[in-house]
Amino acid sequence: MSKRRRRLYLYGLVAVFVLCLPLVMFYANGYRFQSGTGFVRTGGVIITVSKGDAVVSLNGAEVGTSGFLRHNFYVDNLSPGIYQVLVTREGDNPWHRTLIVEPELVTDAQAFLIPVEITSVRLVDASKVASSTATTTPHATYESYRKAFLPSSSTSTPLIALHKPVSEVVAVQSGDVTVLWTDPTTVPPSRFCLGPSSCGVEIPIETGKQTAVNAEFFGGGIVYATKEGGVFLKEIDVRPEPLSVQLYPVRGAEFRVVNGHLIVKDGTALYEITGL
Amino acid sequence: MNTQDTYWYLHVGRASELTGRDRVYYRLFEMLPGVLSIATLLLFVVLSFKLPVLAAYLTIIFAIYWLLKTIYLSAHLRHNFKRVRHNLSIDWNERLKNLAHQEVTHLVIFPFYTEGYEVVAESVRGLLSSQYDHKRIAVVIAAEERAGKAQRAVADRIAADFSTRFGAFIVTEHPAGIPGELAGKGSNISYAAEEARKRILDAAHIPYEKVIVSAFDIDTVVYPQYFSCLTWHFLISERPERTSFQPIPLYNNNIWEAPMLSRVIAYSSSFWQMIQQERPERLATFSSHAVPFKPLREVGYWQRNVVSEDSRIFWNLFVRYDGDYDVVPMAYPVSMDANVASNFWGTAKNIYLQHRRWTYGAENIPYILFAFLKNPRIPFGKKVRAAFVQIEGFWSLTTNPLVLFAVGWLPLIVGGRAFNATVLSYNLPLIAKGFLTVSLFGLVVSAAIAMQLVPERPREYSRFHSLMHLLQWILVPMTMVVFSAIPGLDAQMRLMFGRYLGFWVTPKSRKITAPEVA
Repeated sequence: MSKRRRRLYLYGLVAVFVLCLPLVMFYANGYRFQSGTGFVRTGGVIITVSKGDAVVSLNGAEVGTSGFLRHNFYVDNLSPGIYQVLVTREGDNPWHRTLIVEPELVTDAQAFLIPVEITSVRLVDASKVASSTATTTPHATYESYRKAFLPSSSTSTPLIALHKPVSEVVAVQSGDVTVLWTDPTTVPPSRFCLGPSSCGVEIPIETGKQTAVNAEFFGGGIVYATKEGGVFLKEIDVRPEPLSVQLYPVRGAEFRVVNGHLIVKDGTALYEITGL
Repeated sequence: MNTQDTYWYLHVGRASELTGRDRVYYRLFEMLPGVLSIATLLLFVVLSFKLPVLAAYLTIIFAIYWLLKTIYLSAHLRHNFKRVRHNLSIDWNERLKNLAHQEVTHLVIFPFYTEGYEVVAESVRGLLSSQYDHKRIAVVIAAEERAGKAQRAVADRIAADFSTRFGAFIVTEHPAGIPGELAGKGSNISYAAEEARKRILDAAHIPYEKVIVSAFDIDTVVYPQYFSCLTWHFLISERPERTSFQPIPLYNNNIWEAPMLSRVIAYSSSFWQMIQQERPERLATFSSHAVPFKPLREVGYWQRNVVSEDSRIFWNLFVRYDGDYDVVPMAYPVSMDANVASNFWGTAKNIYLQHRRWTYGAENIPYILFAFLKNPRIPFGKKVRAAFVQIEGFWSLTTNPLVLFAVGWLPLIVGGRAFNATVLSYNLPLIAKGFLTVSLFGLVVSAAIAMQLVPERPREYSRFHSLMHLLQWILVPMTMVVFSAIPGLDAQMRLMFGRYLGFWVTPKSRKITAPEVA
């Protein structure tokens, strides 16, 4: 190739590089051209759905359906503003969230899907029945559940329950349940943030008229018991509206989480909440 | 000017051969390639943690640069391929008719270690297949004493079978254990060249300025008009005593036997040479090359104390003649062996070691910088250009693939929540991947050219094998990292820490059937 032609190639490609680079950088940062408004600094939204066959919609427009290979739904080119996300799945409560989109930032949220039908299974000590059946609980297991409710038990509910990471704790104080972010050196997760750039360190779980007596992290949310209403499960999110479901609607019912099982005590009977 | 004193540094191999301040300078220059490469990679790592936005920008810049560079180099490759195809179609003997070609003698040196009779014989038969007066070719089979008597017997058998067909034919045996020498090709062919001078050139009163030396590997098989093409380039050269000549190495001898990995690596190497041949001002000699005997002797032959004697000889000549030395690209091929071992892992290991030796050409950087420091007669512009080309070349060889396919993606992993909440972090993989994917279309060009350079498929191989010759190019991203960047970094680190590389002989073995030359 002649030197002249090589120079032409070189200068041409350098010119392409110089022209392309700022355009690509602006594009990478979310700048988009919208007719009527000119260049807009857009943001994005990413919704994570752990279950399959869930339909995700943004402001009423369907974004997609979750499946084996698809759990994340990223929508970009969004003008800054407020967006409504809806995730529906057969057999689960619909999940709504109001998200704020800010320029050059991505707002993320995780869909908290709770089944409509929640089962509470009465636990029966296998040693107390004539023959063991599929619905009895091995004696040792039953005893561990029973002992969890004893006042002197080491598993008695502390006022503060830790989570992993330990920078997130749930506290029960004066009948209110709050989730707190305790690490001042790191940015809290997005569920603590009303908008991507406005984060707090507290998420109120139960601050109403009911008196909470116990709360723990379970099933991706907070399980808490109140004197008045029984046992509830609520999503941990400061953004409207976090999903809340009554798991066991009996006044005075208590609960414990034992080895990953959610056990409710109603009088002398023990129940396990399944299906979550 | 006492040449010996003026160019006392001409055959420096490493810092430990120097003393005082010279040793310090040379050592610093040896560290330079490794420092630059490691610093670049570390910069990406540190930025990914501390300033992930900046690291993301650099990754995007790299991706755009890579695409444009691919386009640029692809254009060179296509041009050179056309030139090669044209040169293969020319009757070079016809072109020689009006030139004094009968005065030219070709001295062909085949360095030889433990290769079997058939490998050596095929290369010598290749000379006989050339369409050139064989009586104007002098052959040197350069054996090594350290290879043992059995190998000497192979050399002698070759001489017995073929010597009468050429103008001259000698077997040399490079003595073992000469102090100051690195056991390997450079020391062997230098010894052989000096022996050839005495036993062939002086004995037949052949003027040195009429002799061109082709320094081959033992598996090099010439194409039919190699000598005619070389003679033509030599005779029409404006400065024949200031010019080396570089053919294109195609690894076609056993390409149909070679595994896919080996084929991709082989063609990638050939293509790089073809690209460089379109940029002759950047060209240094590589592997099989040709050099006029007179300047070769004046510079003391190839260095005996370095691994990369093939490229080093160009720099020796460049420095010795104060920058007035060039390489002319012949755009004409020679055929060599692709790397083949008995199993996949053996082949992979051989390829890695071979590329580590090739990329150890970074040892030329300290040599060049040191020589430029010592030689004020080389024009400053040439010094700057040559140093930049070499340093940039070895730097990009190791860093570009690792940035594009590895460290460039670090911001996404370690950038932290603040970075991961930005639109930039989500767009980084999409944009970088987009540019890299478009770059990979350049592989289509490579595949098309490779299919035209490969010899005709032997009958024992099915069309499936031809299909695999096309599909093999998807391995390129992996080979760029594993068999180019990493051995390159390995070589530079060794240089940096003073763990100098010895010469590793690439194993050559072949089936007995002679390859068909395309």
